[in-house]
Amino acid sequence: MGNQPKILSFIFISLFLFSGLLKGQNSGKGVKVNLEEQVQGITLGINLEGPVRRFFDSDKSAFSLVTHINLSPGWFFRGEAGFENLVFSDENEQERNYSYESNGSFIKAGVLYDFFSVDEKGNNDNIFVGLNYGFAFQEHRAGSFIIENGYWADFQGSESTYAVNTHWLEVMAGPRTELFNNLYMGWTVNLRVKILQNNSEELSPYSVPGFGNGDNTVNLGFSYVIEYMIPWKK
Amino acid sequence: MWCLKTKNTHMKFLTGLPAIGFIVMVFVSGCQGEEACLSNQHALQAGLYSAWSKEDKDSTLQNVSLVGIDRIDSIYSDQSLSEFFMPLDFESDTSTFVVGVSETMKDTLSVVYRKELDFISRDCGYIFTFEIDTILYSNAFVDSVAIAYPIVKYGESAENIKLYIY
Repeated sequence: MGNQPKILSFIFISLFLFSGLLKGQNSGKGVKVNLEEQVQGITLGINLEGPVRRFFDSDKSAFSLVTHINLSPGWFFRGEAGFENLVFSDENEQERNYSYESNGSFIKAGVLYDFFSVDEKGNNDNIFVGLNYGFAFQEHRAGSFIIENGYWADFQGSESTYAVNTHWLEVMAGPRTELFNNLYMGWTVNLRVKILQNNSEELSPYSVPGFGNGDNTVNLGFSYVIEYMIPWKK
Repeated sequence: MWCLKTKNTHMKFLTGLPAIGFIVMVFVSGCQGEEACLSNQHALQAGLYSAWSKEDKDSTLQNVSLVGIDRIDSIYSDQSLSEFFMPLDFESDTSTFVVGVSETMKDTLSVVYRKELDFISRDCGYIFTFEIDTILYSNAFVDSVAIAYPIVKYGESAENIKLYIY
């Protein structure tokens, strides 16, 4: 029961922040009170989105590491690197009339701005808004596929393994909190826009590592990160 | 820069952050709908028209039967039709059909085409797209054939050929 005010204040602050952004307000007075006292350092963490997604999609295995580097007061570098492997289950194969395998990896790099400011000493929480560039390299194939005719003979074929590169931009926003000393947990909602893909064959990636649904130009994604900070300045 | 400030706060997100984040993540992860896929998208659509009319005038044929050459099973059998669909053979560049209105009144239609393999989507997989090149036909009750729209493509529904009949 005692935690409810905290939850409500968190929701309120989040809504207030994002509604302010939508209105395009721009206050020159918005100088962070404790920026100079902010802990600076480098974090290393894991994105739990991939492991959790496996509960909903057992065909896919994904894992990624995340780092934040506090470049200057309020500004952070964010980097992420990971892999994603996908193999259709028998059920998916029958449903879609093709078998599919993909192995790939991705990197993301960008900057985040921390909008959150607080007078409380030792509070290192953040509310981030940022822009990332993403690049994925994957090799995929359709080991077999069937096109059903219904009257004449069905067609059976396959596409052998080949590489696909995908580039995208990603706008992300979300909070991060220091759970324990130097241990952080945060989540972001990510809007990803595909800007370039070189695909020389017919087969389209079922899923692009780090980007999501290969059919879409725009994907809404999510990350949920636990990370540990190695401070270099307090 | 726009900035959010708070004072005297126990504004730790400690309690709310993991819970709300987890709910959002589960919601986003679990909400991926699947696309509905169309079937029989490789059939040429033929319309029947009167050969006696100067302008295109729909015509209906009674007791129509349609069967692929060298096939036993019919696509249509003794039906009243003003249009019909002819599925194209994936393993050939020509599909030949026998269309008849009686035991003695039959015509042969041969559809010559080019085909190209396409990938529709991750949910619907592969399909062929066809471009009709030529229609060859006999003249028992078919006067002539015109290609109205030469492409047979997934998701499109257009009359591809016009059969002018006596």
